[in-house]
Amino acid sequence: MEAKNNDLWVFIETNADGGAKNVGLELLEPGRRLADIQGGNLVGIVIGSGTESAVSAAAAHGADKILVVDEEAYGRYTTEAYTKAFCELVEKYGPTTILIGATNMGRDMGPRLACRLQTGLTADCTELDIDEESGNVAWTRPAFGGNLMATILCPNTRPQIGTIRPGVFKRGDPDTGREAEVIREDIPVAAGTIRTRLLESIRETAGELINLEEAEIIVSGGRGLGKAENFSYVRALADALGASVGASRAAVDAGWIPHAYQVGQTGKTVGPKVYIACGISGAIQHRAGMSGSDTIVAINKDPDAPIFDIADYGVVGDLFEVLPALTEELLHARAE
Amino acid sequence: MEFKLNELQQMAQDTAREIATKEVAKYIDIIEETRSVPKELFGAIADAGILGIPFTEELGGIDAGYIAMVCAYEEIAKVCPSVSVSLLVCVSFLEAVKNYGTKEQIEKYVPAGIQGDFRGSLAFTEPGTGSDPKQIQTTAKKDGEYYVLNGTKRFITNATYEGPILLFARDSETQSITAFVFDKLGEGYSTSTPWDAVGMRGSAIYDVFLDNVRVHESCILGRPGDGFPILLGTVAHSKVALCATFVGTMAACYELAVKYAKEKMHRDKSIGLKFPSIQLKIAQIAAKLESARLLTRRLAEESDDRSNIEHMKAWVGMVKAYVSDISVETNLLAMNVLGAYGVTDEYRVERFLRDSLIAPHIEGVSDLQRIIAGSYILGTDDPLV
Amino acid sequence: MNMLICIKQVPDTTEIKIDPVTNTLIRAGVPSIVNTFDTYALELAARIKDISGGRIIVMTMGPEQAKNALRQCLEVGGDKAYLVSDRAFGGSDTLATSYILSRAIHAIEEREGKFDIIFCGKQAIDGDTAQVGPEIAEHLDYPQVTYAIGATAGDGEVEVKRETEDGFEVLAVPTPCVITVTKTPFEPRNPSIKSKMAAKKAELPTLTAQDFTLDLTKAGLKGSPTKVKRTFTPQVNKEGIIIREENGAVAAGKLYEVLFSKNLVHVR
Repeated sequence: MEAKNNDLWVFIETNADGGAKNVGLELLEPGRRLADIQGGNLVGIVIGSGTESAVSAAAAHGADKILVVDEEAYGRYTTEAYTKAFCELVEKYGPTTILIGATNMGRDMGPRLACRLQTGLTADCTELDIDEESGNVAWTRPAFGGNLMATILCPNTRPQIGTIRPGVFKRGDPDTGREAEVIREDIPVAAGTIRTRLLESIRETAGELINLEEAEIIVSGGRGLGKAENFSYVRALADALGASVGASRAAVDAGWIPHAYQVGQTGKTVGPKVYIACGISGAIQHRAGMSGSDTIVAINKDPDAPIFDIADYGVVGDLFEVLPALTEELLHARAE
Repeated sequence: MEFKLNELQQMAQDTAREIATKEVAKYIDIIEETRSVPKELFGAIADAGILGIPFTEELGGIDAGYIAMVCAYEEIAKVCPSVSVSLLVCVSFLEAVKNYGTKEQIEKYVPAGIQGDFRGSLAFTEPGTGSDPKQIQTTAKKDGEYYVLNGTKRFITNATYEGPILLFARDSETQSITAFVFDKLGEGYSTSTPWDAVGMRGSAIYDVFLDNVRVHESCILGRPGDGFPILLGTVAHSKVALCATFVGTMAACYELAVKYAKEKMHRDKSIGLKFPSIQLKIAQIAAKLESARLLTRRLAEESDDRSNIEHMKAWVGMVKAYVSDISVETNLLAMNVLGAYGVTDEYRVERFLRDSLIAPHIEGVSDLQRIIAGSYILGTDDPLV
Repeated sequence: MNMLICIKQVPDTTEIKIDPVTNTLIRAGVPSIVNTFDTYALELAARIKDISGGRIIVMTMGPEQAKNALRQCLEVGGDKAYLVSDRAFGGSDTLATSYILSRAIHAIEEREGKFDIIFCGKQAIDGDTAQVGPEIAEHLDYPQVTYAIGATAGDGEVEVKRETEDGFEVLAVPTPCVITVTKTPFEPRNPSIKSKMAAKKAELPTLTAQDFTLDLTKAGLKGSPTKVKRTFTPQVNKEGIIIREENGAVAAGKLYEVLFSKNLVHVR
């Protein structure tokens, strides 16, 4: 497919209630920068049901234009309906670049879309630039569990597509007065398009609203906690900080906390502003999941724990003393 | 002369090593504390095919022979000797049935046992006797088609797990010893609390009390009165895997000693490189380990041939005494290398030493074993080695 | 259920080290393993086979040594394995790889019958893209379920439990379908002596580009829309500050001061 213009599209992923997830809004930041260099519009793509607030959020965060496919049939994400709608939009408008959040949804839809369009997709990017020589987007991403970085180009096919993890870019400040051109596209979901049926849906995170992959601060517990009940130390600190709770594989395997909280190679990859690792040794598999954090704090009684190699601030001490004391300090400061 | 393992033996060793380091390792403390081997672990080991090593494919085994068996049991004992002991008693039970049972008995017990459906036991020893059949006091009184069993057996392995037991009792009419196979945990069967031994605590031993236990005459293994030959035919072979178990403790202690000697620093150099006394000990441990291991494999090779039981018993006697005594010596040397840390449980050597301490005393005390070997050599034309 | 597992032999990334002089990955001596997520996919398929019966064919695209990975899979549930290998496939990115694999699947189906389920691991621990599974589904025009952690076979469909960001959901998907598997709550089974022997003896047919129909312009470097411009090792320049105090409360106090002064924690 040939690009019809130099537009850069950002997929504004929405929740079931139609509100925008953070990741799409975050991507409007690098999207703006790249669109300007490429000399095209920054376009937000919204697919869902009841998406008014997502549309305004996209406008407020910098989109010049927003293409909206809003219908009840899109209320819940399905591979087939979303891929088909997105594909039709691409074929109609011909953008040159597309950014998608590397979320559960993004990683399900992105490859399907790229394949249907017979184009290149670069996943889990941590840096985005324009390659000076060729004018193509330079997608930089980790491989080998984060031990190696690769910069990828998609020189011959269009659109060039990339997925980016939540938290890699920071959301800008919204300008609520800003207006964007909103175009509503009518793409009904034909009968038989959606081949899967939802039978059941269960939330495991104890009523916490903050998605681990979108969290700004995470307090994580590991083997050093000793038993399930001791996650109370982690939760108390998390509450005082307004943080999300995470866990290492050891804690999950021991049955102390559900897998939904696991950070690491076989769990979630997170990139918060602050990651506080409590009683976590810092095995490579865990680090693969959190090394992208801006600031890493580690509390462990073993001075040789590998986590201290990547920590910005480390406390060698007994977490059962340090955590309550730290929590206390925070609550005390809050009360003042 | 082939010192390398053949393909099947290598597979058995590799599989045993994998299951030992991956599964058994998770349970070593639980086994020591609860003094039992959890059912799920036993199941995983059975699924890996370990119990079937000496049995034909027809019965569900892999027909790999005794060398494969000692290689496999060494790997398991290297992680947890108690598991190895518990397993080899299971296998001894199955071998007895295979060698002496009727077609029905074999079909009933052997495939199911190999699959890990139950854990068998052997019961000969009593408070009054450890090796002399004339002293057996457990009685079997014929009552129509049944026998009624009464008495006490001592130091029985796997006594509390579901499964059959091969038990030797004196027929109260004929006064000859008869072997019976029946299910444990039934009416009239009870056990004591476990004996508190210095080692092998994960494979606890119990007194078994029989209070008017009724067994059908079809439960007799072999013919009435065949008890003692069956016992001898079974127990000799069970000592082979037992030797492998003690070699396993030595292999573990060797590794622990080498690791410690390489890592423990004195000023800026490892104690291994700095102190000749450590080097001497390590070299001694290595030689003792390898000699015990190779001797056990030779024993295994001899055991594949069942045609001359007396020759085999002499071999067993010679090797069991040697391996038992040397495992205690070697593991003590290893403990020496670790110094003060050697006696703490965190460094594991003390448990392997305690486990090997029982070796010269169980399943045939070393002196008696040597007398068996010696009197065979001196009483026959067979030079044995 | 007739099931296919696509696996990849990868270097054990937990053992990878960086050469301090050249700043490149040291690949020599790094053990090769079956991609972790693929082992969970295989176990998932094996459990379906245990309950509902069926066959498991294992396939991989790779060099000759990838046969070791195939044999490891035959030890733990796989019934038969195929290697897909040809120099023309070298340099393939995910689009080209998924194209080749989808064509190979057609070829294998001619020999083994149509597959009800095609399993892939969620992602390879070296490439980390998670693209090949869904792209195979697209090439074959099959429905897909990603992030699966459990599945039961039904009549003409599969009930799949999949992980979501905050829990899980259960979907029914009609066969034939593609399922990509993430870490399951259960571990892969252990091999037995018998299965190891059988795997060792198993014949592993190799399919080259001659053995199935495909458009070679869509394979290898030619068929790869993405190109690697450069690779580099990430610089980790952490001058970490270590706090070590007599007692935990004092340490916590120091930590709080440091975090507060850097504006990392806010009083809410």
